[in-house]
Amino acid sequence: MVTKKYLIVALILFAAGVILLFLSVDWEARAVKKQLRSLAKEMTWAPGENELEIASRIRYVQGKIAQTCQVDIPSYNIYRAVLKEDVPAYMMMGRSYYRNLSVDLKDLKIESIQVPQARAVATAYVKATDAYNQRNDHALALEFNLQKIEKKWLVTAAKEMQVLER
Amino acid sequence: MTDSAIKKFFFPQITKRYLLRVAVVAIIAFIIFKFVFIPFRIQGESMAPNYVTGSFNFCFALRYVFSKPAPSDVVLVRMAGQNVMLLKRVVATEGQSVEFREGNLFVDGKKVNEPYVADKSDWNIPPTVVKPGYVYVVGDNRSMPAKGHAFGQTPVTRIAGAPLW
Repeated sequence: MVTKKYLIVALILFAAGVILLFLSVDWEARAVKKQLRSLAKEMTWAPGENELEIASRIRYVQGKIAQTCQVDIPSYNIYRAVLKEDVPAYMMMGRSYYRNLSVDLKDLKIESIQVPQARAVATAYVKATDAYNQRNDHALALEFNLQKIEKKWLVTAAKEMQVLER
Repeated sequence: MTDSAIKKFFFPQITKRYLLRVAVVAIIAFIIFKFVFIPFRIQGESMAPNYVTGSFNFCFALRYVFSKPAPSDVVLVRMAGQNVMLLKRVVATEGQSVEFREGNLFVDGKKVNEPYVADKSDWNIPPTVVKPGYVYVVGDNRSMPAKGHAFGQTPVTRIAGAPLW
């Protein structure tokens, strides 16, 4: 009988712990991080991919970008507002310039989140080999602005933060 | 050391006291390697030949608690966090003017002797005055064109520490 009582108390405590844990998690922040990580994962390519794979990757990236996304990355001489429908063209341009490319987001942090707006920072570690087989790796401190549109966090801006000012 | 002592050292009896000792050691190690001596691996050639790619080191995070970075100090500059940092050398501090002429470094108009630079460059960078609260950092490897090298002034608050060796 005593054992049963203890078991019930333990179960109640466990359930309370689980509920507390569940309530303490910032689900929106998790969704933003997940969105950015998956976007970085899809910004990856290597020679020998089939066209179906390429098309699906491009569509995936396109689906995570807002109708207009301001991209300012001085390290790559990119300063432009990218329209959602132009994403495939830019991705194909990038593919022709770099034989392979991978992006890994490190130190991803949510700086502020007030639904429907969010701001995140991360260090993007870009490993790339250009068309002439030259390594062109870069570490960039990036700032992302996202907006929640129809239950999805979409990237509205990606800007390089100036760590070293010349 | 007897056989039983060796056996006891490698396969100790799991007692409450032993578990407590393991927990204390683990917590102290975590604090030391997370906040004081942060391990890192060098990737890139910007500090060659003094720090080569693939080598291992520790960032001593308390290096600038009681002092400020000074010229010729090697420092780690934080990017978005502490997982990826830039390893650079401080060449000038706030208020000083920095200039490169035919690959030679000039601080406040005076040529600086840089024994740590192996290959001379042809860099020509117009004078820049370092802003208050900033330091000017540059890599030791000047054999690459200035365009492909990350250097410039950064806030002192971005400096995470200095390499241990």
